[in-house]
Amino acid sequence: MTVLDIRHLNVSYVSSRGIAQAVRDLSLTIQPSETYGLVGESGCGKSTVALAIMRYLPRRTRLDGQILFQDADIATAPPAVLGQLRGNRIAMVYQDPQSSLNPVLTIEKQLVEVITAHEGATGEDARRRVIEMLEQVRMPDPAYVLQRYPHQLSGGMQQRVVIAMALLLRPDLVVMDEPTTGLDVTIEAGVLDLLNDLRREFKMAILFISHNLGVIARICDRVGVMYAGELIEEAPVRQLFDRPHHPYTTGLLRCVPQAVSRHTSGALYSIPGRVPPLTALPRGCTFAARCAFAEPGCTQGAPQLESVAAGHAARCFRWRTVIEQPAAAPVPQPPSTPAKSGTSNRQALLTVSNLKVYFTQLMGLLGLARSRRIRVIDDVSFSLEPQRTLGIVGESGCGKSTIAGAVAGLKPVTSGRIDFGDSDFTRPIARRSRAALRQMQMVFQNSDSSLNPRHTVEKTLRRPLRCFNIVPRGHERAHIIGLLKAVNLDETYLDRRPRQLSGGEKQRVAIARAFAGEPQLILCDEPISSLDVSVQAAVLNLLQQLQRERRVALMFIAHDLNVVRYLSDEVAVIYLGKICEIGPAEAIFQPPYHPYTEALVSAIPAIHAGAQPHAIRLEGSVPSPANPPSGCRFHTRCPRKIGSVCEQQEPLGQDVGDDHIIYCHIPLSELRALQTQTEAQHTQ
Amino acid sequence: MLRFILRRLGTLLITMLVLSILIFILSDVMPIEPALMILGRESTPEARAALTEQLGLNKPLPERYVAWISRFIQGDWGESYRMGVEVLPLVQRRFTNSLTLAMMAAAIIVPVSLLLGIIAGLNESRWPDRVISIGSLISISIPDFVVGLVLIVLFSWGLRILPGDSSLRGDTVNLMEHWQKLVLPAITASVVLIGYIARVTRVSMIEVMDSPYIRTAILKGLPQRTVILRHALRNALIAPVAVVTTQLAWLVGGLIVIERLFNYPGIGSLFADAALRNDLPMIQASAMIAITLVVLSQGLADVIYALLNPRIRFG
Repeated sequence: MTVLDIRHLNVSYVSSRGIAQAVRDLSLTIQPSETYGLVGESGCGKSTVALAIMRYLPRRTRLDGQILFQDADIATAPPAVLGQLRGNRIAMVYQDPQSSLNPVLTIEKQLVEVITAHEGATGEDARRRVIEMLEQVRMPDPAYVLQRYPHQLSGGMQQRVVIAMALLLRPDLVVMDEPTTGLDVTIEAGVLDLLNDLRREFKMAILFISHNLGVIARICDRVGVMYAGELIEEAPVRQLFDRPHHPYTTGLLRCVPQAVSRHTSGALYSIPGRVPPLTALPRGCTFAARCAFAEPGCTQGAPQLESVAAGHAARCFRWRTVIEQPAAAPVPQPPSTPAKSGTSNRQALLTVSNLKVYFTQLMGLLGLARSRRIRVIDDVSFSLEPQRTLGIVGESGCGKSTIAGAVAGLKPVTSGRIDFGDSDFTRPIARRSRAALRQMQMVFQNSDSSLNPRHTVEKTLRRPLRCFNIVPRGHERAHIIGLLKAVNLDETYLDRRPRQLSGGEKQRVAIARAFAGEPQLILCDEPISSLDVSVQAAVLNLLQQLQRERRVALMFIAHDLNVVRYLSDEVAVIYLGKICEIGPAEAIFQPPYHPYTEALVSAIPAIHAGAQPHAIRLEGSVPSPANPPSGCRFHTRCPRKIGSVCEQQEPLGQDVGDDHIIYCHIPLSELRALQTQTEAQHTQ
Repeated sequence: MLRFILRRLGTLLITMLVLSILIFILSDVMPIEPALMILGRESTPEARAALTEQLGLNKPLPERYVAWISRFIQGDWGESYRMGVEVLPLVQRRFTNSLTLAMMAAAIIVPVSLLLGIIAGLNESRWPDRVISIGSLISISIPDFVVGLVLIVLFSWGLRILPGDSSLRGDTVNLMEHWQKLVLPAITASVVLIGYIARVTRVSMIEVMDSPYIRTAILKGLPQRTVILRHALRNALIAPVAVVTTQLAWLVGGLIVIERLFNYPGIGSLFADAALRNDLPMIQASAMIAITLVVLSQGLADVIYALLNPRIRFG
């Protein structure tokens, strides 16, 4: 018997700007104990489907069609029926667990009330059931957790609480809206493992929404791809990933940097254009404007969802042509960076030696009583040659951004040296010369807050030109247009302000601003993590192209390992303010690696079957840098800890060769043996 | 929680000590010659010099400060230059009067404004919200003396059910005996604040009802009553609490216009008179009372804040 049967669902949001058709004529079914994935870029209507199933939509929303669940039609059910279904037969897991839990109530109150509301059970009985459920979501020390408030738990534990809350009454359907987005990759991996176990134990149906194809591949049975409010393809998961029939699905899959891809083998594929505004959808096929296969006929009539194989449907006139195309070879491109020089004949552009950044935290009455030092960056050294790319990876809270901040002069250096070219860059930004400032520019994660909302694009780009006297006054405008063209925008953008730009366009402007001063080094702090995959690919390509043309070096900070591997020449892996492993990118991501790198690599959700790395999972979260573990800082979470030496002594660097250094007590030969062994086990 | 309160109290004491030094320095630079004020213009310079010596006013500033603050803490607040009476008992009496009026006003303001704000917030842009929003805007815009006059005309002269004159024989208020005299001034003081606090509460309530954790509560299938009372209310009250407690200080010490209008012997008019007449001991006493009020209400705000918000309690 079908658990959920959505028939011809239409949802539109009515506002003063018009009617936004968020979901159009969507039909799907979910069977018992099936996990159905819904994937697509932001603004495609995925979350609206989830909220429509919960019937939690803004007041001015039009909803037609049927959402059949058991005996009820949720689309028309009265509030009393909805109250009985929600939290009981249908439950939801949300994207951001921290804000989804009430900050002023204990975890116990928030969990027990679900049982009380639906079954009337209270007191010891309800408490016992809550503890049992927390144990089932592998929560350490449930009795302790019950007395905590949400802000006292880590992100991974918060999400376990939210999952426990959803599963308490053993619902028939759980709707999960981006449940692992925003979690660190190591924590995400743990949550996904848990969900995979739970969906088998509980035999529940899941609607799993995500923009991340790797996550979808890891957990779903069947997948629906949404574009501009419509379901454009639906298939069993392996079939969708192996034989996509819709050009949009093909594009999405090709956008993602794969485990094997490197910038030296070619540029990334990206889908041109962007999702059309839902208030003014084009005629005919909504994807035609971005589609490489589009013909004039595509914009005449709207394509229907058509069955292309057993259980596989696609909404495309030309799917037969699409599948005949061989998987396109990567776009060849000249190597973006010069080969690494021999250590003697070339001088490093940036040299960071024994960098320490300590913050002082005041405590007690008016901060008079005590203060403690937080060692955010503790003795980090690396160097970067001209025109090459250094990637920095690590979980959040490891000090990645602080390194960039110290190099840029935004964070005060406690001790150590930063040399840039021939000059000393250890001093803060206020005491650097204008010429020095020009040499180094930054691109930030959040282009919303790093572009002045009141300045037009032209004004934003004119600032660095004036500051650094790049061009004479009369030639500024032409130069700015040149910069815009370099980032694939044109002069129509000159008068726009940030709010009139999409996320990708804003990041392009931020990149143009960074290049405007003609620097030698650009520090990129998570520049693409808030962008959709197709836009990510375009921005990465752009960065590489500009790097090649304008001969700059990049320091690239990201939590996405595939992106770092794709883009970087050298990679430094940071844990709790220290480097655990540093070396050439191709060497970092294969054995022997530092156990921390091994865990990070194994946590990446991969798209293709067989590419799934072996599973090594980290417990808990990054300890506080105010009180770091003794010896090797990673020993508290290390899956390969060998003994008390890890707790007592700081590991020395072991040279693997080719400037690849691993800071670990385990001898290299042993590491290599262990790691190739586990890898072999998992490929079998 | 006890540790939290003790820590807060320590901070408050230090704040007050610093402020008292500032007050003393300020009153020292004021162009007031105490001996002249006490003895009058006809006094001889010798007599004035002798009195200055006797009062210890020619000693160095730090020494005088220590002497003043230690007397002040022991309850010796000096004698008013103008009225020739002990400052402390007078201030005590007037303070009790003002506190009584403020409590009465607060008893009206807090429930009414929070309730109106919550109702408006829960019905965003429907008619109850419109009515309350416009009403509160009007109440904020009318000056308090206009409100007071209208009330006097209506209830005292027209309906003749409440007195328009709130003066007290013997200067001491007794709630049982004088409650009728307090009603109109209390309502006048309430009108402005109700509008203001209701608006703050409304915005806070709208924000909370729109938050992801309220969505979680609704989608757990909880009854609407539980969602509002258990999940929304406590979070929504955090913002108005800060406003209410800071306004309490104003209610006690700042109702000068209302006290004058109703002829009510509160502390606000006492302070205003002292300032106008260069009555130094009274000015110092009033300034100390004022900062104590502000600092205490701030402390109260912190404690309520911490009670509502575990993120502050457990850092």
